[in-house]
Amino acid sequence: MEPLISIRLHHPKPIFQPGNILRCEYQVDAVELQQLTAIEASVLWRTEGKGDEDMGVHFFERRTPHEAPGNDLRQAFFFETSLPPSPLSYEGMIVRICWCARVRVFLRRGREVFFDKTFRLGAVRAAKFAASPASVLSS
Amino acid sequence: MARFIRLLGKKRGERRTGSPMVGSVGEASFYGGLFLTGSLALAALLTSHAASNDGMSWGLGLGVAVFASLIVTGGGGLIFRVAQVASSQERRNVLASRAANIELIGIELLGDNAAGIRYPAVPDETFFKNSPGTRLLYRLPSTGAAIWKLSAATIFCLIWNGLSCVLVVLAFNTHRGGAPDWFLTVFVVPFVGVGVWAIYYFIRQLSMHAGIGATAVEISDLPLVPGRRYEVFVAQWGKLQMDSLDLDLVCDEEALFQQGTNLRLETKRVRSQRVFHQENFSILPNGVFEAECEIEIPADAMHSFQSAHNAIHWKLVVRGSARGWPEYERSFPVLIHPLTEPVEQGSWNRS
Repeated sequence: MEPLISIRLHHPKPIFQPGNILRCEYQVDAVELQQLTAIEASVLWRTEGKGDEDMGVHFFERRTPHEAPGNDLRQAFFFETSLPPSPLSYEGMIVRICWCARVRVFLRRGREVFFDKTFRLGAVRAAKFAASPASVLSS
Repeated sequence: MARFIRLLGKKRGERRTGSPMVGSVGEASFYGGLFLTGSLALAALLTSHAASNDGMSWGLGLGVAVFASLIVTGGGGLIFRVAQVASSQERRNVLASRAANIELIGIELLGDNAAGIRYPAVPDETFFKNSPGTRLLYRLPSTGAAIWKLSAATIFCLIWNGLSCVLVVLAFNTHRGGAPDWFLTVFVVPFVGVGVWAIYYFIRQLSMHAGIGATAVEISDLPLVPGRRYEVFVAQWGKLQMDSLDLDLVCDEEALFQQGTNLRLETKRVRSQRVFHQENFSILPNGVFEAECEIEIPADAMHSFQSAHNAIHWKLVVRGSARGWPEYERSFPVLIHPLTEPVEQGSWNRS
């Protein structure tokens, strides 16, 4: 049985502008206390599409049991961060840039699970096919 | 229920069968074993050599090299594996960014460049701004493929025709010696044919490069910002009877990916906007064609983006068609920064 990870963004819509403050609350549940070895929360962008995946981490925090009150990592944690001016979310033809808040849970025996809560940064319109439809491939 | 040790694992969506811990331990054991084997073998080799009082030999050198490579591979693999234990991709990314921002002797080790700290994943503006213009503020650097074509044609032509000359001389000598080698002679004919084609292609590329003349594009400001207007100056040299000259603002997406053992780059043009067009005009000898126009960066445009395997490039592309010459295209990359504050639509940025 995998633990339940919940992430909540304190914002009416998951759409942000550069410089906005992202406030986020996360909690891990349905797991025994002894099973948890660490939790990492991050705010990151990653690419999707044809190319190999790239990522950039904007915010990162790692919590271990001895840092948590009562050594219990199952309580709700909160963080906030000011969002950077770039890269903005983008829906291209072969390149997509997605932002998300990610919580990764480390369990005993080296197991780990994560959950992403995606959001948009900026207001860039999805790429409209405007010119040559040709795709150029080179090795 | 998953077995603790599996010979074969499966990938089910984001999840893999088998224990990651067993995988990590197995990999670490393999590299550790390699390191130990290399160390023991090297120690045994060196002690036996010292006991025998023999001098240095090639065999000894080879043995030392082989066992030392085992030590390096095993040790390096083990350190890399241990560094990855209980460390997520995000954590490694953060550590790498911090390491990249360590300042050594006043030089920042790469990472996000000086502009990138303000605009992460946006290319550094230095490359775009290092050439002042004569008419407008900046002359844009050219990244056309023409010079690469010419270089490749030159290298191919030299190597191929060098080999052809050797084969021709060998074949000629067999005929002169009275014992003609007909297999070599027949083999040389298509070889020379390709050499002649290579010379023709090289001359064509060279004459295109020299004959069409240089193209320059200048711009009133950099980096560009969505929603703003900029002045652009384009100049074309060479004695030419032009059928048409176009200037387009284009946006290309680039994706680099591994396909088998090949690294492939795919480019897709996702936006193209005509900035300037002129037909049927002549450029006199020692003359230059000059034109000024303006561009407006679309308000909803994506900014320039660069990461390890993906990129979004904006450029001004000059396409020309001149009588007696094949069509040519020259690219001048521009840098677009993300919009950070509201811009009055169509406001001007002049030099």
